[in-house]
Amino acid sequence: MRDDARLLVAGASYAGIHMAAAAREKGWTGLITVVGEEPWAPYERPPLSKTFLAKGEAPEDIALRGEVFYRRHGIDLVLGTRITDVDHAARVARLDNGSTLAYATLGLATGGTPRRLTVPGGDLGGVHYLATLDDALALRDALDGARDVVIVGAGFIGLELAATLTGLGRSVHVLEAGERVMGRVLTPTLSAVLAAVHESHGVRISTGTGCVAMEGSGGRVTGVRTTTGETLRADVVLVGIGSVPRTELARQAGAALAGPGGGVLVDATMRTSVPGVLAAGDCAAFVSSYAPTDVPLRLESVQNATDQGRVAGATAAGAEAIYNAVPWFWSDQYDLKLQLVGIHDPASREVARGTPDGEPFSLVHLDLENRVVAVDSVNSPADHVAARRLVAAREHLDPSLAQDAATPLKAAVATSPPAHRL
Amino acid sequence: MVKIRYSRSDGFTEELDVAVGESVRDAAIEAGVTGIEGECGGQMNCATCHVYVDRTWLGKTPEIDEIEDAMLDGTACPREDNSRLSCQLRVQPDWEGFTVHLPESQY
Ligand SMILES: Cc1cc2nc3c(=O)[nH]c(=O)nc-3n(C[C@H](O)[C@H](O)[C@H](O)COP(=O)(O)OP(=O)(O)OC[C@H]3O[C@@H](n4cnc5c(N)ncnc54)[C@H](O)[C@@H]3O)c2cc1C
Repeated sequence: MRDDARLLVAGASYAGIHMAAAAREKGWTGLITVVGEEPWAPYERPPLSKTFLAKGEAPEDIALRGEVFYRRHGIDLVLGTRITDVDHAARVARLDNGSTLAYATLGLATGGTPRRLTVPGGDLGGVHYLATLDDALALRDALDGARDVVIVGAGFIGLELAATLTGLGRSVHVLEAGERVMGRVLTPTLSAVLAAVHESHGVRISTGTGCVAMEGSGGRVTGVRTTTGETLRADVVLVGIGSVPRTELARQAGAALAGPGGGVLVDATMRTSVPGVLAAGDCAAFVSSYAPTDVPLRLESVQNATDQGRVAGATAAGAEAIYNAVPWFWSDQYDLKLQLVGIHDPASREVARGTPDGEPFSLVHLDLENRVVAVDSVNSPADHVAARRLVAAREHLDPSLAQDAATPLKAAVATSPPAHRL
Repeated sequence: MVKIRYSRSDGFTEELDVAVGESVRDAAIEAGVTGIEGECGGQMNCATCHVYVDRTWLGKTPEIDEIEDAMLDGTACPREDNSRLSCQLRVQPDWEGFTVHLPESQY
């Protein structure tokens, strides 16, 4: 490897930073340049819908790493700058400040962008999305003096915001086009639990209800017209209806995607279909050994972005690494700590530990051979931690043991190896 | 400011001046100390900020609560009786020289 060879990383968030750091730690001796479109030093995204708003944290409070970290790893951060084009045949990238960067290896860690709600009035002032620190700052400003908030979409971000904004004294109404909250990730049992908790905090939830238009005056939103013909008063509207992967650069480099609108296809080493191009995190699609099928999927979680970034960095440096980490995710809403491990299999059945209206509570998902495929826990970190190992080892678990809340799940782990990741 | 020592598994020790009330994890992240992660940002969701408290300091740390206790069962390196999540160790005025030993791996 020539010492002026550059690893160029697009995107300065979890996947990009961990890719860069791991490449250095695993022996990349050349340059490492991470280009990030956002003006801020890399920061933690999950607090944006939670403590950043709830406690009024400052951007410095959520820095992903201190400045020294980048210096020590010999990582050049180029912030507030977007890579606009790559010419992979020539191995040159063009930036929006007009300059170009030559590279040896390209790492794509471009994440996703919020799916837009294309309804009349959708671009009125007061209609917000939440993906970045700048979005959160804009939202914070908009909430000043606002009373009624309508949230479109009852996914993780929508519900976390519902909890946070209720805590800040706002009146919140959530619209969900699907028939239940968090229908994409949870089974009906937990959807019902969560909906009940939100309602007990005064949040109104309308499922099976979409938004057909935003109404406004003077360029600012004043209400949301629903598919049921109602108009809900709104000072602020928050849209959280999912995200789409950013794959512009991958397409220019000729890397295969997982279908239209899909992520950048990667194998377990995070290589794309094009030599010299790697991808990781929210923008990447891969076949997960934890999923019931071998259809490539994208995961949107800190765990996935971090662990895939680390594997991509090792691969860039020529080290052997395989991504086989157990997928896990968390969400904090009110005083509920929701922790999920594994990927649901529609064919699996769920066994409840504890009762849904009490805590702690977990749902253990067992496949036809009683192997643990996923565990969803509410205020039960003990179940969650044990479940990481059970899922990693595809441990068999007797359903009667699974539902016996008096016997810790970890008793079943005794023989399983720890869920080592790299 | 209180001096906190981070002793890595390869024998290298770093000393940081940390403000009272800041967590041992946050101080390490800010200063670029490698060997402590804390993917979840210090919310007791990940168990990747695991440290071993130097035994001479064992009596002077706050109690382990139920959540931390549960999460400590999920660390990559084995849990010992001096294991803690460093996001839960808020530096106290009389912690001058407080020392944590970093595990070989957080993953
Ligand atoms: C409000 C919110 C709350 C969340 N809460 C949780 C949670 O509780 N737990 C959890 O596990 N996950 C949570 N997530 C998801 C988690 O934050 C993401 O999965 C994670 O950030 C993905 O990391 P990434 O590095 O792949 O992509 P991203 O974090 O999306 O970063 C991609 C970066 O690349 C930049 N970029 C894109 N294209 C270019 C280009 N051409 N040139 C330069 N830069 C570019 C973007 O500006 C962006 O900064 C949350 C997300 C949000 C938005």
